[in-house]
Amino acid sequence: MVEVHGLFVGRDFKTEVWLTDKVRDQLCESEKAGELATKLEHFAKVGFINFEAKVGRPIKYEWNGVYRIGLHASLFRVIGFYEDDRKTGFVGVDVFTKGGQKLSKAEKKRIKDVAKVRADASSWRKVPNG
Amino acid sequence: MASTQDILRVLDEYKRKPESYGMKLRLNLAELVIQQLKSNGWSQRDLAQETGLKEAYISRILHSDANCTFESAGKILFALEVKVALLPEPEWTSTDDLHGKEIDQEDVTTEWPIRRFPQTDSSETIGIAAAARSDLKVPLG
Repeated sequence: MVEVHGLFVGRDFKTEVWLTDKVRDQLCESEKAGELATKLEHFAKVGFINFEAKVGRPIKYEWNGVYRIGLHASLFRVIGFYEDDRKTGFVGVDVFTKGGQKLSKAEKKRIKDVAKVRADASSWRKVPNG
Repeated sequence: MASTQDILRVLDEYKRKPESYGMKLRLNLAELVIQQLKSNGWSQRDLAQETGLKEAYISRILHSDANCTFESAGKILFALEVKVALLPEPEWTSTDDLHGKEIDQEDVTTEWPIRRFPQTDSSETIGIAAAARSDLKVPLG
């Protein structure tokens, strides 16, 4: 069971953000943690949809409902999916630092794994506090 | 293991640093440019061609990663027919208000102002006010 914790939740956020422990840890451990969190908060307040596109935007659609959020030029990426079609909540499941311009095989596999979590609603759950 | 509180503390600490002010401007500029590109039906390549700036540089601006000069920002805003003005942000709210009671009051400093739509006739509005063609609707601040 994948558990996700609310980071930016409530009426001030057009897109609520829920993250796994893994994503929270990597975010906190990053040298640019403050910058990354600031960007994520900004996207959440304005709404992810405003920063989203297939190319050329910080939030990039991959496939099977999985999106990749680019939080920094250092290629720090959060992979996740929207809770529903209204896109009012984003679930960040995995994170990696992109190695280059194109996704590696291992990175593609991780996106596929996130897609599996998305496809099975019983495989993840929200944990309100923590 | 990092908790939500840990991330919010990192966020608060970052917002006490001068670089966070630059980041705020970069985020606002990116948001403004993205909105206007959508409105114009332009790609970042179109914008690069219009401004003479490199597409990779435009991409970094859209990702809020570029520490762009006023000159470059001017070229972009000119191409997009957007006029901007820097204004102070007077309304501040505590992080506690935004995130419930998740962090101790002692740790709370300040938070970015609540977002508002531009009210360019008032000096008490937003960080960057934008005015452009009538179809532009840019939430800033």
